[in-house]
Amino acid sequence: MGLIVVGISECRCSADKEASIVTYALGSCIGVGAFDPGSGVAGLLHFLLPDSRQDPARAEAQPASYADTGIPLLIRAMERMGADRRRIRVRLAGGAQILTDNAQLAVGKRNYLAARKLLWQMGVMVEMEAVGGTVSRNLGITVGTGEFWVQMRGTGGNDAGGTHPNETPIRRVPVAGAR
Amino acid sequence: MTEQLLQRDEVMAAELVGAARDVLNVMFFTDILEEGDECACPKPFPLQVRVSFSGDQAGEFRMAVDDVAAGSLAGSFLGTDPVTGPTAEETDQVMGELGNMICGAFLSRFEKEGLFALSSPEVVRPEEGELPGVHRGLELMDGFMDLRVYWEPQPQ
Amino acid sequence: MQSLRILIVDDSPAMRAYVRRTVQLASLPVKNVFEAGNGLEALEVVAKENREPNKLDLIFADLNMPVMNGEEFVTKLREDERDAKVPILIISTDATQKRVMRLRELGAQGYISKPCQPEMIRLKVQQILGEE
Repeated sequence: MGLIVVGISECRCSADKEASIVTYALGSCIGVGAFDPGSGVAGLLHFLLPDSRQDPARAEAQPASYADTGIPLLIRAMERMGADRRRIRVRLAGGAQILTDNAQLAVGKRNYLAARKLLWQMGVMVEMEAVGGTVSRNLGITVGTGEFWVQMRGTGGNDAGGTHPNETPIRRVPVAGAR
Repeated sequence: MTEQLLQRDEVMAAELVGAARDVLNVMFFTDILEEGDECACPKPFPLQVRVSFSGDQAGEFRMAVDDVAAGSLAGSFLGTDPVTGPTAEETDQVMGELGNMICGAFLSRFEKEGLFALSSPEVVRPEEGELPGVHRGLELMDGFMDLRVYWEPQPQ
Repeated sequence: MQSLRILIVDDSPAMRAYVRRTVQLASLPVKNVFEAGNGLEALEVVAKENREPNKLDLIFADLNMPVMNGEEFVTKLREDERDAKVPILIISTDATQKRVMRLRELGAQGYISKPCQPEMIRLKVQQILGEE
């Protein structure tokens, strides 16, 4: 039982029904929350940057720092605990534009695109996401129920209003041209 | 060219880039880093996609990409293993679909009330001929892309 | 949801692959996936595969296709009493208001405009099949 806190460039998994996994202060970073309802295995990754090629030594030492090394790490760790990739449902949070508005520095967006690309490549479906804007977010999972929650700090976010004290449900994925 | 037409061309160019960004972000997981009148890529492009359209407005759309962009975009769309990558046939098929999607998204943005029929995309290797009309050169996260739209003059 | 039999109609092999992959990843209980490259081919598949007790559960269809386009396909399909009930989900780049309204009138159950994320396709499938 207890609270498992995932720091920046970390990845943690659990099947303990009494546990919750949480990560704080997702700015331009992305939190990848994952849950397999079949095995009850949950996992959470807090990655910092999109592409490990920019610092292979760091990627070796801290693979959870990058989308392209961290996401496979998360999915494989869950699979080792009995999760089935085809059942895993993922929620994304973060990817905000925290720095100055410069296309080259849009790390939040790059992180978001990298996460989507990796998950599509690995055959894992994104269920919902709370991304973009200029807010800092916290992302958590209650392992026993598979419930996700997102908290926001700051302004300019586009998440839906809350239904629980201090908590907001993850909004539905915005889809271009949805009818 | 009248001022009105110049303004229309500017709006058209902005919608063309907007449509491309939308398609590239959502289904190809990449973004546009730079855009300009000319592309910093060696010509001619090795691959070009042509889509002609008719209906409330007739014209032609062309998209050209370099090999780096083609391989990367096709792999992203299909979710193929980055080591093996897509086959040449798959790459051509995905580029045809990408051209079709950008053209369709552009028409839906520029002529919201319009009704169009699009031809099947035609993939040409290498790029053939210039097309008059609106043109934008794009630098993507991987490789280069060139977009052109020709709008047939409407009878007065 | 029962084991599903679906048909994907698109002249683009890349787009057929995309929809097929989405359906697989979405954990939908799919039993058979049929494919067709245009409306006419699709009508042939429907004539062969939409038979009791093995009916088709859903058709994904593009609009701009050679030989027979999506609108003509929907119109023809709705003319046949036996096949008229198969739900059709249109996935097309053509998102102009006129087009969407016309497709609704012709009897398409859903419309997704490209570009679209896979979860949108899953959501629409669940809505359409859930409504049945």
